[in-house]
Amino acid sequence: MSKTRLPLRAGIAQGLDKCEPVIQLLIKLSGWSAIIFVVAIFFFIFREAWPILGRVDWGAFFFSNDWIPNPAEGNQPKYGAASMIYGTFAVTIFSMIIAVPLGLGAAIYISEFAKGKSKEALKVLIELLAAIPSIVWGFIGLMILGPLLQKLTGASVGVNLLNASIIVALMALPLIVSISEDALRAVPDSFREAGLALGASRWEIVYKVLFPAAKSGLLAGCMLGVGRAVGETMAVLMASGNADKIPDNFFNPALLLMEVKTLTATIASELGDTAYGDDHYRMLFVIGILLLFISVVINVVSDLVVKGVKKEANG
Amino acid sequence: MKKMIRLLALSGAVVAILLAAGCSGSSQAEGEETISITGSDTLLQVGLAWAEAYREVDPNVIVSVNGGGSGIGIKALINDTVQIANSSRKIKDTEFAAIKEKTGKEPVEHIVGYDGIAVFTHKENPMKKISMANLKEIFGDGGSVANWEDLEGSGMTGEISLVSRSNTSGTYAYFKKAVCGKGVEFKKGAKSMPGSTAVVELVSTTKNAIGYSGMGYKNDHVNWLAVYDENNADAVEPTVDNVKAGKYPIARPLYLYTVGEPEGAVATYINWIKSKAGQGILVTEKFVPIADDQITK
Repeated sequence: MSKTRLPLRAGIAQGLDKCEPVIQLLIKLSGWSAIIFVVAIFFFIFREAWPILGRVDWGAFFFSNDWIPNPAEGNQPKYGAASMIYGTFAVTIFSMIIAVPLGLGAAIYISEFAKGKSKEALKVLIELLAAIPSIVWGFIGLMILGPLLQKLTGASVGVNLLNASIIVALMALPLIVSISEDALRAVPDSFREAGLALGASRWEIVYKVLFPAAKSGLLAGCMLGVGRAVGETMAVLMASGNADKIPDNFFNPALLLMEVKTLTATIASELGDTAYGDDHYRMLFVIGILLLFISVVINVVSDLVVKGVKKEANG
Repeated sequence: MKKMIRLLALSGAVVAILLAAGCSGSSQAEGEETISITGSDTLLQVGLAWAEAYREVDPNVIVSVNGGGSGIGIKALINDTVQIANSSRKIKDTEFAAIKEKTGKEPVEHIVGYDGIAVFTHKENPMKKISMANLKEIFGDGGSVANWEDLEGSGMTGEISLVSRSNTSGTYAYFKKAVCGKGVEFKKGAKSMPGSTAVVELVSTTKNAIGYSGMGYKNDHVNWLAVYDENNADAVEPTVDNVKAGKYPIARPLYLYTVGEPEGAVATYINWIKSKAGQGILVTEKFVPIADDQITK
């Protein structure tokens, strides 16, 4: 180190010290920016939907499934979103029925029973599922899973609720698996050792010791999966059939083989072709408000559930 | 210190190169003219093919083409952001009035080709022909045909699976008007597929399906139906010759709209589109050319 370098280093160190408040400000701004972006999104969607909110026929919007924004000559446009609301809920519920047991099972296996190389390989493979673009999932649903389902179930059409639910479940799976696996790993080994010492079998340790201990993390993972399922757009656009249908009987399993339509797919397929400021354009933003509302409710509920579960665990 | 100087010099050089690369190529040379075109997605592929071929014909004219839908194109014409609007449907009266009001000139329609909409069925569907009246009963709201057995001589049973397009599509709007008629919507359970190819893909894998798409989208995995109506008892297939002769009932003209009569480079371009060269490109893109006596040059 030559003598000429020392003063420069000292100078830089002094300069960085002076920069400290600037760096603190930048970090604070980054944190605030998250809140600002979310508020900005809410503001943007409300602003675009605002002019039509007073004119919306809310009864028809929530209970009619006549979505006809481009009617035949002489007819009035209709904006009934009931089939889309049903579709979004149906796809979310059924995809979670498939994804949660599979995801938790995979997480338990990876965390407790897999060893060394197979553990790493499984983790990588599941992450690979997450890397597949959602439009590719859509094509898999339309071209591969569709005909397969027709063969296996005798359905008259391959793009239906079951198809969309399976595809969305596979997309949400990596999320549920990685967060649940983290939650299980966070449980201290002392818990497992205590269970073993008391004579519990490995499976008993999993559902009597680990599940209660990792409850909040596991639930958080599942709620994130739900959020993913609600927001999925491109895959359901291709694989769900996009038909304005609502089943007459919600207890008949045949509804799984019926086409559905989701809120997200409708916005994706129609917004690009509407004229700015049109009634149709604004109604799509009203659907956007509904989606935001559903997401907020899911997040608030999951927050409360996770907090409640944490309290239970600590209290 | 030396390391820092080297690092600064290197980053400076990289930035300079990027700036040079980014800045060149977008400046317009002397004497170059740009024609902006927006509109129908049906016409997007052929519009881009025309623009690319025209570079060889007149290198001084740059034609830029965008999609977005026929409605978007005509709106751009109203707002004077484009010189030509591509449209796969006729201009509405409200749009005509809006252009006249805003620009003082009337929009001028140029027919540059035709597109036949084919009705596709599964490879195993034995039906070969269908009447326009039956198509209305199948696709139209309130129509009496919901199952294949309701159709005389269909040879199939089971619920008919309707494959349609998204409601913002020009193909959707045209087929609804041509087949269902005035004031009639599509049947409620029709599936809205995102794109002409998706319709054909779904029909090819669904035995009970019937769907519509541009004639150019036919592939070896689907059949198309010959259509007859009250004007012509002979069922006509959507081939190029039949559409050109005006025999196929579900065919629509493809339009270009300009504000007032086109002048200068725009007029030359539209003329070239209607010439043998332009129409040849139209045929390669699987559309139907205008009648021989309309072809210019």
